[in-house]
Amino acid sequence: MMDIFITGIGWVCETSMGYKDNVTAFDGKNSLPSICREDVFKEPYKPFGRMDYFSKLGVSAIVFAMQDANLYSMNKMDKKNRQSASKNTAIIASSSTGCLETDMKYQATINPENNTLPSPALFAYTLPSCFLGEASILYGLTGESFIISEEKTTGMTGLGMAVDLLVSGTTDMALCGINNSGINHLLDESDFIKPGSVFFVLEKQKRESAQNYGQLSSNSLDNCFYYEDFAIDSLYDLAQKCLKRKI
Amino acid sequence: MEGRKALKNSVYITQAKAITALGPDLDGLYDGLLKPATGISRVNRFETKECISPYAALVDDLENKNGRSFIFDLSDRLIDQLYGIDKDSILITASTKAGIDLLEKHENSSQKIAPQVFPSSLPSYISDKLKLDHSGFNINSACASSTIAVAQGASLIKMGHADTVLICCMDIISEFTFSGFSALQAMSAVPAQPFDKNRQGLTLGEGAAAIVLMSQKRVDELNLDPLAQVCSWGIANDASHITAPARDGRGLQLAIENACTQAKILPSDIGAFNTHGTGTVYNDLMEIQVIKALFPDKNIVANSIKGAIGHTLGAAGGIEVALCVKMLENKTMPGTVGFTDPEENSQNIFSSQSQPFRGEYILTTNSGFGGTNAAIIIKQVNR
Repeated sequence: MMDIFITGIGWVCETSMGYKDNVTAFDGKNSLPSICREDVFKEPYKPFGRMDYFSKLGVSAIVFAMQDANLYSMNKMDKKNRQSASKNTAIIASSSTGCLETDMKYQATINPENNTLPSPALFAYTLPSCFLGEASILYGLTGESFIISEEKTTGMTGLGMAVDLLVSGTTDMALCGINNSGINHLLDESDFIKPGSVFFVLEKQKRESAQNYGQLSSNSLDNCFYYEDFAIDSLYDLAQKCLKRKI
Repeated sequence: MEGRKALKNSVYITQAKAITALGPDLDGLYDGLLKPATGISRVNRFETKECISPYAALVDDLENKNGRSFIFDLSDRLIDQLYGIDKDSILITASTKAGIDLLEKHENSSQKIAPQVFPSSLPSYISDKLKLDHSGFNINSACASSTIAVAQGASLIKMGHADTVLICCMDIISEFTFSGFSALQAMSAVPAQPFDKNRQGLTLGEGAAAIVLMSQKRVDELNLDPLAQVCSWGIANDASHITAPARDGRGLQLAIENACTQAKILPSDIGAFNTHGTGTVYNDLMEIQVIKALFPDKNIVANSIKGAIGHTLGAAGGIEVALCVKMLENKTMPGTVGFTDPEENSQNIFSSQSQPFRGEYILTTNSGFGGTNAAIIIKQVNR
């Protein structure tokens, strides 16, 4: 039996963003916060300003998770005290919404009634996987990265794939999470979409300087994941359980 | 982790289907490429006069009746080609923008968005049609989406989580994507000329492919003759730029090296290389760099099919995996349409004519926005 260690959790939700504190709400009742560079990076980081909101949401949660795992900080003063992430790190993100808001903004630029030119800057972000590339560039990560889209995503399919990558030795570390923008008002049925982003740092081996939220295990009979003997049904559930235990 | 031990299961391809501008099936595509023919023509689906190019490779008579997206007509045609799909199959779709053409019909901000705009609608639709036990999921990693879908499907079998995985990949030509690639200046004013000195950019295409993957156990149970074996794969990120490839091709090279390591072979064991070959200046230069680094003796033949069927985005990898099955079966790699004046270091590797190749391994790769790269090595099955 092999355990997977959870060594970092970062998030942006309706009522809070960051790491270490209790996640308060992923429920779609309120709008997501605006995200400034200063909320995420202590020093200027130019690419952040050009990103669309969906990318900012995902990249921010990843940055918070990496900071929580004591792997990286954008504060240069802190760098010497921190370990850098393995380059061979995969990023697997689940999303129901993708970058629909950006799609709609781009679509408006090609609408002849608006008398505008198609925006190449916006078009580049109409691929929901672009924020994974932004995070790979930020940390120099060369592992695989992709988005899983399911109608009612819980993030568990992505978690299974991230665990497989670690168990098979394909990657040394995995970032696994959910990223959904706040588009519930645009949909007839949206109760299942939880706006916000949460990412976990998963590692095969315990690392001394890392957070230790505990271990994940799976059961071949029911194909479920367990966190400290509790069955988990979504990555939101996992985040809540991990942070509750930490407190 | 209990139940997730790496197993040494072999992964077989038992069905390979494709729909492209060169025809409604895989044979039409392969035969068309051997002629060589082109599926690229002037776009009549929407107005292109503000764009760099009027050209694309469209699937014949694709329909969007009754307010449906073109993607669902493409899905229906693909499903019609499949047979005997096990109910317990895991479905993985791969599409970058799915029913994005429906967004063009979205008139104002107070109107609700059709769920068919989302890529997640594709697996639900196909799963319902095939009456599968699981609803499946879509993988998006830009132009390497379906290459990664095939790799992840093979991984599910290798890890013992599934006995049959169905990969369905597709993307359509829409005004949305067409205007976007034009705005990015990535499009060629004339039909794409991969690896040609005078290439100007890519030509968009639309299409679909289905790949059925099976474990040895399921192949034996059903007494099937597999078409080929998914031998290995590698996926890596450039970590360099969002919309441009790393000039030195470091991510692509790493992906191919990882695939070779997994297969326990050397690059020199590979007989043929189906490249991404979009026809953009930097993509093709990058791939030539990687070929120089990994195949220094030039003892390999290579091609790109995008001069004939355009760049089919999220469907490209799946279509090319399907085509690799035909190439292995016939030990013949179709030529590269549009390749007339070779880019430096591409001569004697690429050709406008069909090329025979040796050995039992064929490599296919795709790269995309976000720095993603994926490589798959397919092995011949000796019957």
